[in-house]
Amino acid sequence: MTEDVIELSINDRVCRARKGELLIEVADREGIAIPRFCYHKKLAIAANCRMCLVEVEKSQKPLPACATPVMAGMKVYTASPKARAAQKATMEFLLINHPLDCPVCDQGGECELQDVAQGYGAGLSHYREAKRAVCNEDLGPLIATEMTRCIHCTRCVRFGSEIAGLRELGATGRSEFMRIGTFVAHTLAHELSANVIDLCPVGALTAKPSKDRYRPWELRAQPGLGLHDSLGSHLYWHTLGAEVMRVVPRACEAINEIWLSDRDRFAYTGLHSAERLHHPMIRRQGEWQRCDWDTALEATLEILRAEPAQSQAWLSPQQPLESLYLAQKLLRGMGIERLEHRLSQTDLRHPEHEAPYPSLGMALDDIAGLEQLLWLGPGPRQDQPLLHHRLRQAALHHDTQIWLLETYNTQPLHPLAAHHIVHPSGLVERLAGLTRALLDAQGVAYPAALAEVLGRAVLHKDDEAVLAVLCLGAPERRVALGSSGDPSMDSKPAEYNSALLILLSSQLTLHPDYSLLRALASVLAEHSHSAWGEVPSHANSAGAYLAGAVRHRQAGGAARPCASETAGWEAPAKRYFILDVEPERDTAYPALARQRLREARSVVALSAYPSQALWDHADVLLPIAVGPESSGTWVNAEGRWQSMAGAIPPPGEARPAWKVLRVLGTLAGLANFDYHSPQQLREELAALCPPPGPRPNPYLLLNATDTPYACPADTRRGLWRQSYRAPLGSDGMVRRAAPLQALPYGEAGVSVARLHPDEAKHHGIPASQTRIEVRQDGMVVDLTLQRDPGVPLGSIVLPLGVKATAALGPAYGLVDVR
Amino acid sequence: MKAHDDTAPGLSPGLRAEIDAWLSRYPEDRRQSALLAALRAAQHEHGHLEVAQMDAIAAYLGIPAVAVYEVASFYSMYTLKPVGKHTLAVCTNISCMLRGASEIVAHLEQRLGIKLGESTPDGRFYLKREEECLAGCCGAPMMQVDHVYHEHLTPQRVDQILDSLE
Amino acid sequence: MHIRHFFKSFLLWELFQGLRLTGRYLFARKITVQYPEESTPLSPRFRGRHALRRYPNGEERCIACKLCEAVCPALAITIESTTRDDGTRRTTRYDIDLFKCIYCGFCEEACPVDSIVETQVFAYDFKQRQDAIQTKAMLLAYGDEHETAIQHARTLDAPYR
Repeated sequence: MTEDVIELSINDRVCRARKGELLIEVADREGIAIPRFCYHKKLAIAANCRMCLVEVEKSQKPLPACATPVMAGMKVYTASPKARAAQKATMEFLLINHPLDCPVCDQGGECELQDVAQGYGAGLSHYREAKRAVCNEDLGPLIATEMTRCIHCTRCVRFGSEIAGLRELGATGRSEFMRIGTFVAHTLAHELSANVIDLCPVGALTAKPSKDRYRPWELRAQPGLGLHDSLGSHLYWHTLGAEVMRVVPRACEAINEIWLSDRDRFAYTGLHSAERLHHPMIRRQGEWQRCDWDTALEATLEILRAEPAQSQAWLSPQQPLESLYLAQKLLRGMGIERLEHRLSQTDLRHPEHEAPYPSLGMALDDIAGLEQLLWLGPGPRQDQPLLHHRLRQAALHHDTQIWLLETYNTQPLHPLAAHHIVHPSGLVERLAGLTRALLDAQGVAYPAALAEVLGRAVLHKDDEAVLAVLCLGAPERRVALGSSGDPSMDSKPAEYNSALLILLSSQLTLHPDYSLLRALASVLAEHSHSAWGEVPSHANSAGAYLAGAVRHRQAGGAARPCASETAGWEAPAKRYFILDVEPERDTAYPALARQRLREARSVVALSAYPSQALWDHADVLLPIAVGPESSGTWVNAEGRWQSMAGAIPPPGEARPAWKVLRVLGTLAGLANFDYHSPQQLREELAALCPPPGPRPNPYLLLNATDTPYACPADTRRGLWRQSYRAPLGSDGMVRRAAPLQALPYGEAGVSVARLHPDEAKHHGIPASQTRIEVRQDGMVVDLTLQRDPGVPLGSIVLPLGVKATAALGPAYGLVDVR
Repeated sequence: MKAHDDTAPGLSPGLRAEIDAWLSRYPEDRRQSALLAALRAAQHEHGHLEVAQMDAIAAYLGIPAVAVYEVASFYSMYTLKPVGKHTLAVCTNISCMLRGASEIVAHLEQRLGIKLGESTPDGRFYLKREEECLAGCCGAPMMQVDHVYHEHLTPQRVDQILDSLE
Repeated sequence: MHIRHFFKSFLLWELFQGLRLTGRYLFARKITVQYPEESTPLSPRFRGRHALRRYPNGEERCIACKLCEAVCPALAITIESTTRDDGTRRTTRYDIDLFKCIYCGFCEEACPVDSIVETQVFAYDFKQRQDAIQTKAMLLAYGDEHETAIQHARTLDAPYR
């Protein structure tokens, strides 16, 4: 490598650099300031703003530092009279048309143009011509535009083509008439599109929900986490008083780099929803009454104490480790054994073959090092936008081959080695066929529990290519990839195959044969010597397992013998304890969940946004904090423990859930409940968790005495419903974030029934018909019909987590349409 | 992920054949190269470029629609709104200007009753705004009518030219 | 020397000297101002009670840039802002705590649109403590009332700005 290192001098300081590195990168590393607008380290070089002109010895003209590769012996002057003159001239050009509206501009105070103009701008301009004015674009509910302020750096355009993968903005026209926009007005539809707000060096693109409400200098930045997908993106809550004004990304190369999904960025707008619960409420003689905490807690304890054996607890996988840990400690301490956080997982069979907790099985950074990735189930584009971004970067820049086997088209924006769309039950068949073919090729006997399933399986001809790839896996390619060395990464896998990863989509937990898919994938992974993982569906799905918020695990993740193996969370109970769950939107059986509550004797709910089902059937409602209002720890898809402190106080009398649970524990007279801080709880739980080690492949847990896996029922006849969690229906905060819900993929946008055009024809639906009646288990809803060729025949795709489908039966099953 | 739409909805068979002819000159993974020719052919067919047409071309070439809009709005040879049948473009650059181009423009505006950048109400003529130097300086002042150069213009000569057009 | 001193003290010379001064002022032109009926002249830059101004068409000048809030050394100004229906940036709250205010005039120096000004009014009182918090409506009303005087003071000061 030494011959690649060269020396050059910048401002007479000798610097070392790699050959071919750009001048501006070297200067940035050396701490030498060069003004710039179009250059951005995450984007391609455009060199169109000319602000970074510097003097290079032996060059007649000043050169743009962002587009000039370094050469040995180069002598660069960034602040010589010649360089300064060039920079000042550029600045004057940029200011010809830029309006002087800094006092009303949201960017004022944190504006790159303002900052640079302080140093390079002249008080007077040579130009007397009228300034140009440009009409604003309507880019949707998230991004406010003031296109007159645009300086045409094209960062937003490059973001669209390079990072998002969906080029929606462009520079149309030329010279004086050049303008940035969509040309044909439409809302930016990409899930990361609001990142252009951060990229825009001026105030042309700003955040619409917080427009005109703050000035940057009065905001207090408090570090936080994105709590709406399983990555746990790093972010800052920017608060003004007791209010979150906006959210901006916090750079973390290992997770979100410098990006943030629109959902994480604007979910805060749901904090002050009118549906927020501010005071404890109690039902007396059928009427809701406001009460004080003492009364409410007393009533709660009474319900919990009444019939522990007949009680059931529904816990939210969005809650931090601390409250989930305390919840299970409280409930188990009071004799309530039936607790569950996997309310939207439809198949809870074979818990003995579960991994300790769902995770990617590797660090996000290591995805780029993969040669092959087999993704089973719907792609992550809308559900986990930054994971989709990782896949895209890996496929584009690191030649990772992505094989996608989806149950409906999620329109991924990355290159694919293969893209197959199969019927949900076809997915099981295809995976079984693939597994069988691999085992046959290696001459391995079928595991006893899967013998029946594999015995019937046949390899699909489309899967021959992926089989060839899987056969390439060899034990000697299992190498340690742990590159990040982050000490906060408590359970990083020690080794896995550098070449292959098999991932189960988070949406697959809605599949009625999830346990079988998981078992097949683990066998496939074991014999192809690949890593495998399950993408967690919620912010703390992984943490909920570790906290023991699931009936067959203790705190720390050790198996717990459970008496009522068969009774799932959907089985009837007489008393319910609900932590931050909206029964009609967070569960896979919305109608059934409502019915259970209706039939229950008493229901107590800790909730920030009580849903209609809770108002109708609960007896006590305790207001709790959400998102930035409470501190806590979340375990992300990599298994990384991430903590954050509360940034704002909860409204009214609401309290963080862990405090409520702690007081309940104390009042109930349980031992060891005198916690003072979440830190204490976290440490106690961490001590219970196993030390970091390789992620065990559940395949190793398969043995001859296991209950055999049942063959999936043939669902090819009739119309089979498949569901996905609505991207903006992930949790209470997002559901009430009005600007997000106004997006094309907001609640109204996704409340449609997606059906293949031929399937619609087959059911005798005339081409002119736009509404469709969906009937499941005797319940009927009326939905907009979307004819989508990306849906497999024999299947209808419905969202889960939206009001429109809350009246329907389970997330899967046969339906009728009309 | 399929990069482009082979079925080409929204493109006439003739247009598609022409685009295919251009595509055959470029490598398979450089379909964008045929964009200029595709837009020119589409404009020949319809007189101007419609958004729907540009979208169809984008889908056929497998590039983002906005990339087509960028190119179409960049070049003055493409028009994005309906214009008159004959395009009159008077050069107003230095040589022609010195030889009286502004007089020619004034005459055209007065005779047709329209300003630069407008079309006559009967849809016969389109007076294009500010054409840059067309390399006809030796015959200045000059104008381009559709694709034909007319040099050494005088108001009388302009009248003759206009009268000869239907 | 002693004799001279003796006569001076014996004849009350210094007393008469003093009386002469008293006498001179007894007949000189009086400069006493009969406050509150009369008042002393004030500099056009005098910094008295605050007002928010309007444009001649009645539109409030303030654009909620919050520069006055930022510059205020006594933290006497509190502003909240939002987008008004017509799309312009406006304050929803503009409070000045006159107890905190030290009348330094930085707010009017910072204002890019000449909205917040300190008038020449220095004599005012409150019946209630909370009246010292001047709200946006009070400040605008005060501005409307004194617009002529504010305008006049600005005109006088214009050559020196």
